[in-house]
Amino acid sequence: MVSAALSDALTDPTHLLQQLYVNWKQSSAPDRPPFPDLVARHFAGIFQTPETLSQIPALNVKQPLERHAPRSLVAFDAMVQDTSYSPEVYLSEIREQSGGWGLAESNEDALPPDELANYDNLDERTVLWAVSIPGESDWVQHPDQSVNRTDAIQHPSLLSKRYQHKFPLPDTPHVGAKVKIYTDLSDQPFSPTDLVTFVGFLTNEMYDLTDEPIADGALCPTLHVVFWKKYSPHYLISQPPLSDPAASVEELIQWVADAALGGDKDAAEWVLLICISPLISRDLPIILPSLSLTGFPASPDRLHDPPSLGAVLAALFPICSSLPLSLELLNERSFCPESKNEDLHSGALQLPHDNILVVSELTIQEGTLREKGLRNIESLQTVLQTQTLNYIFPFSAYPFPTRLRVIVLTESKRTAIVKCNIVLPLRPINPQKLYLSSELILPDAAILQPFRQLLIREQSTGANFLSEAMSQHVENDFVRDRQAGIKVSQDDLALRITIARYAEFAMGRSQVNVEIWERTKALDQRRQARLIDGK
Amino acid sequence: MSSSPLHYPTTDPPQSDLLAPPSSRRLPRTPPGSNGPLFIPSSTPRTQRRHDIHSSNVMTSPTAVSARRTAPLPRTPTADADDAPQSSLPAAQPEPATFNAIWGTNVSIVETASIFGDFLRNFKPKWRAQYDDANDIPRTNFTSADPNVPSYPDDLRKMRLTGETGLNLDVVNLLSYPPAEKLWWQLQKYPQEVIPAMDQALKDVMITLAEDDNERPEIIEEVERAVYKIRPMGFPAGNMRDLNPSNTDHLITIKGLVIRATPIIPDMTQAFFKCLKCSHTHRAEIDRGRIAEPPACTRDRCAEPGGMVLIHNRSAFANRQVVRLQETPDVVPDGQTPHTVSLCVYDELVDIVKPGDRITATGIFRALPVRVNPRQRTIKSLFRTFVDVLHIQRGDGNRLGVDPSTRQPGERMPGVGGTAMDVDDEDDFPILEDEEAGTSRKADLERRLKDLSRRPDIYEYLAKSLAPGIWGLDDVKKGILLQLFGGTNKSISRGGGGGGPRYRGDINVLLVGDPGTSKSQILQYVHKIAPRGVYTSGKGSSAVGLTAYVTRDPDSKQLVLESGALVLSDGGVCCIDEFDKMSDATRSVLHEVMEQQTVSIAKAGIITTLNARTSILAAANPIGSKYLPNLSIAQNIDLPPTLISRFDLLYLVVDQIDETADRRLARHLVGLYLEDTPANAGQEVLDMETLAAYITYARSHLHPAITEEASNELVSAYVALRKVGEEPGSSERRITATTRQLESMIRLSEAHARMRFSELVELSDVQEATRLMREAIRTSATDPTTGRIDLDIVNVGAGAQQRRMRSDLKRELLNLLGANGAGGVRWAEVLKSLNTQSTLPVDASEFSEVVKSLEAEGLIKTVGDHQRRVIRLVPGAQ
Repeated sequence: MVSAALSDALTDPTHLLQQLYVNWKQSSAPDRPPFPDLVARHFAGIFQTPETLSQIPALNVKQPLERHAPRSLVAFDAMVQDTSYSPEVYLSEIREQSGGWGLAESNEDALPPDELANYDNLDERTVLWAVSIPGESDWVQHPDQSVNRTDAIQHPSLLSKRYQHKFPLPDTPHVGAKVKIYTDLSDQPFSPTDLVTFVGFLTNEMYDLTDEPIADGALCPTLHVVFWKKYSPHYLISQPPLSDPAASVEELIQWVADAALGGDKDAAEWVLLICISPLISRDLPIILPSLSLTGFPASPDRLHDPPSLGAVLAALFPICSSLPLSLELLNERSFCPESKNEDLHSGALQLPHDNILVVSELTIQEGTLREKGLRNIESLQTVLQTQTLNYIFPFSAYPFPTRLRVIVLTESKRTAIVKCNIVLPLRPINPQKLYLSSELILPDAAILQPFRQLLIREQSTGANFLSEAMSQHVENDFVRDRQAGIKVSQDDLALRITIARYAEFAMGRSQVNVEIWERTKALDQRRQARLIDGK
Repeated sequence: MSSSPLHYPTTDPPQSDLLAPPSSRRLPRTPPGSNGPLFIPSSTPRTQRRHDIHSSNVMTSPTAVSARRTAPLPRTPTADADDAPQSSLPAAQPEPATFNAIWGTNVSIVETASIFGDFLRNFKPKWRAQYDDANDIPRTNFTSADPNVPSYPDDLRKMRLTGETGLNLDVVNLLSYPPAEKLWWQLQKYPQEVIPAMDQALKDVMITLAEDDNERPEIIEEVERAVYKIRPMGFPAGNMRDLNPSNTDHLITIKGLVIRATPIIPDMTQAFFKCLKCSHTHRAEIDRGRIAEPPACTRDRCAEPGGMVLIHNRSAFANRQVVRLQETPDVVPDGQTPHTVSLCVYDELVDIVKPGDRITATGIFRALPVRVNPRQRTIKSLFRTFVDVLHIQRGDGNRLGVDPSTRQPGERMPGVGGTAMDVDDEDDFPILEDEEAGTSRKADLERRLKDLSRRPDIYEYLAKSLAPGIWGLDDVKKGILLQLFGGTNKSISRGGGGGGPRYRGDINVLLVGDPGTSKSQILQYVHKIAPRGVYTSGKGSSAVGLTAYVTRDPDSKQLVLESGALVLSDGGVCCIDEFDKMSDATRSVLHEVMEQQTVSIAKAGIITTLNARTSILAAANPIGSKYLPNLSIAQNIDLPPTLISRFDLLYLVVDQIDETADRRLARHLVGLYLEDTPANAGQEVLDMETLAAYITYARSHLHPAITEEASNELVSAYVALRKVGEEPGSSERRITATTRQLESMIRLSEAHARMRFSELVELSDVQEATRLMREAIRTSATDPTTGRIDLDIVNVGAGAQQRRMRSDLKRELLNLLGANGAGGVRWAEVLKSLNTQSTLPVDASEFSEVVKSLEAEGLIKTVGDHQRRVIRLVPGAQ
């Protein structure tokens, strides 16, 4: 039964929809749900399990609009980019048939003459723009394929180029689509940068339907959603729990240090701590995670080889993007999303939550920074300090909460342009490996998988991570150090507690113990020693 | 737009009376915007209509003239003025119900019209006052003074005199007038039908009124010809997010920000066709957005098929404009982007709003099918939604509303009406999400804030709530709290120049202290709650500059960012971290900002001065990254004393090692992280939003004045502070207070009064201000060598003690040089011999200062450099 419904839904979803409509019309139960709710429930029921869900053809860079038949059912793992479109009012019934889900638009015969328009049948649908998830790592998108970036770049979708301004990362192929949702969203509206899996009918429609048809046809991929769910990456499914997290952590730190940081284990540990930092409430005077690796040696071929850190982190974390700063980028592109002519252009910082952002100052050269560039630096700085990003609308800017983990690489001994909360001078043993001069040789997926699993566990809300005894220990420790004349300030203490918390998380414990505390303290002391050394 | 003078003879018999005499058509055109004959072609008796209502059943009857003559409506006698209003509807109103009921309802058009006519004649302001009192809203002001006199006839007379055709109708007046109450919801549900009826009633009343006033016949004629329009307003404003298909064709009110307006679009209201064969003409009215083109000549004898052509310049057009309205930031839910809707404005309302205006628009929500192709009848399943605007109210000029200076003086909102205000005075509350419940929520918030202000410990409570995550620093927090409230800006009306000097009310605070003492975090917190705050780091990027340069530091060969000028927000708090690392250029801007409250910008040969009424909260680190307690503050921070002295409060935040304090600090921090919320044990604090609302409210509503008692206290406190500098038995005076400190004390006292929500500065305010001042001075202006307060340390960078030492040194140096004759003495030798004389070792830097100043005085000169420097007396200088 289930499999039959599944194949029906995949082969002729339109038919299924019309059938549902007829049935819904006939049932005159007083408590019958609104039709869009029924559709959502029905389709979500069919594709309940991850296995069934994965049978729906995906809409992504490799399979853009052109590769799908019109009105086929697709699944789109996407980031909501723009929610500022006005809702559309449509005729929900035309000639006894459902008028939603693009049924009327795609079928000329179904279009009614205007006297048929019954105003009682008007209904509303939410419209938003969604793009493929920026910075989503290849191994997440194609878990069963070996990483092969070049394949995607060979087929840049023409459509994606036209709407490139809706995608945060410049010069990166992506898929963008107008998403139309028929269920009532007033209770739980989408916000920009939400990650959602939309399932629906894929069509190619006019960008603005209220316009009169234009010859050159500003068409755009349009997804008429039957149901949607929160995006959850499929790679986490069915993996056995790790036997010894602590040992794996050691291994992981060593691997990151070797592959990306010239063998600097402390730097690797700091980087990983920043990357896994759990969510912490914004109101606290807590050091929000941002790390500046100073004294990063310049690449022999300064502009062409990206630092390997980005690629290494992308191999470990599902969402990771790089932002190589240059005067051109700073002066030309906007970091904040900005609404121009009522179209919300994306900004380089419009990234999903928990994104790891590797900002590189290594590519920057001497020159003039214009007003836009300064504004961009200011936005980046604001994100680091308050984790909020302004969206610029005419006459007003709206702050949106964001959650980016930022690692800044800079050649300077101190932070030059972007100021981070934690500064660590890099001490590479083997500086050759800092840059990605050739393809990064990744270990086998079987080796990476446990690491990935280790890093992306369910995030604990983290109340009570310090026990009563432990907090006493921290307190005594602080007083003792100060009495002994060791320089520890209030900020140092706050930072150490925060970091201890990350470390506890990394170790897979639920509470900080003395061992973790001492380890964090030692780590931070080594960092401070390096700072003094550097002066 | 009136017809062009091109002559096309009309042969269309039914409308031949509309043909204007040629003379009238040659009238000079009046510029748009004036209410001249462009819209009311006084001698062109063409059927005028309003274009915002596309009503299907245009009221044709009752003709006012006949109704008026047969059954004059009785006026309410003055005797019953104290009674509740009674319906004075004439019983003998003929009502052909079949004709005039709105389809599908029992609402009778004729009845509606007559009720409204009665309302216009008899509504008195006192009923509105009663209504306002009963509903606990502030009373509405009416133009007419006597609340017992009907207010509308006055307005109508004004309309007649000015030729204005729009009447702003505050619908709350309908509600407060019992006989007209039901019009309130009829108007909302069936505006399409009810508004034409009201227009007709208005016209009838206008005519009666003109006749009763014994106007000249040509005026009456003009009134009879004019198209009068009701412009309803005053419905509670809804959120544009809540508009949905069920609102179609209803009257709605929305608030928003105009982001775009199209140029004027000529909208055809009447098409003029001419037969190519027989030159017969035909007019066709627009019907629901479409004009029916006659398929054949309408003259029976001709009936040439397809021979009718449209003559553009004989057709009638209306002005139309499409305005895009965006939600204002205060109603957008958290984490959402603002929505926009289209507004169509017609006729007089065209071009009265400009992008950037905050407006409240009342209109009819419409949904029109989108056609696949303009030539086909098939439609998409999609509908276009927009609002046909009937009334626009512009927002407050204080915030993002109208900037009055951008408007022509003569430009005003069209329409006449007693209660129509151009500006709607609404408070700027940071938390006001739902306009529907706006008024009550606002009142609720106001009440809550007032309750809060009555707490006896409000000062402590608020100070505690400021940056609750940061432990201790109570006085610093109090100082910053008062900074947020701010003193009042004063300008002295007497005095020279343009109205005398202006005194700033902004309080500037400087925090100096060891690194790692949470200074930056205090700044960031303040930035979060302060209105229009700017957070910037002195070193890194500036807030918003014009340009900046990425350059290589000549010393370290590393890239650095050199920031440009600092642009500060007017009326906000500017938080500057690493104040000491600021570039000289930026610093010089701050000099001006902090005293004159202006910023001068020179660009392209033009120098402009902008207002920058901002208070500054800055944090600076000591020179050697650690504060040295045996040096004075001026020696500890790398800032020119002139700039330091511009701060009202200067706090030292020193990281002292003290076991109990350390322990409490550690416990506080650990406790904070334990909870992951800022709720500290046993300490209740105010949340950030309420605190921000509290401050905003106080800043915008309270302007405390100084009482007699307080002013006496200020004087005596100032005198006392100055007296500290006097030492018995010594002629020398240390400076402990200057007029700057007095001004600071006044500002702080005012801020403290504001914080209490008090309109008067009282004794207690001054006492607290003095205490804060004294505390701040004690920490910052204490001479480290004598332990005494000496404000010159802050003001000129050297205390009295230091100055005395310098003058001793000068004298001895001159003596020494004089003893050695004209040959001069080597630098090192002078220093050595001075050291042997003095009981205290002579500081090398101090010595070079002295030498420099003597050189400047022209008494000595130095020759050579470095080791071989020789100091010589200048011959004959003494």
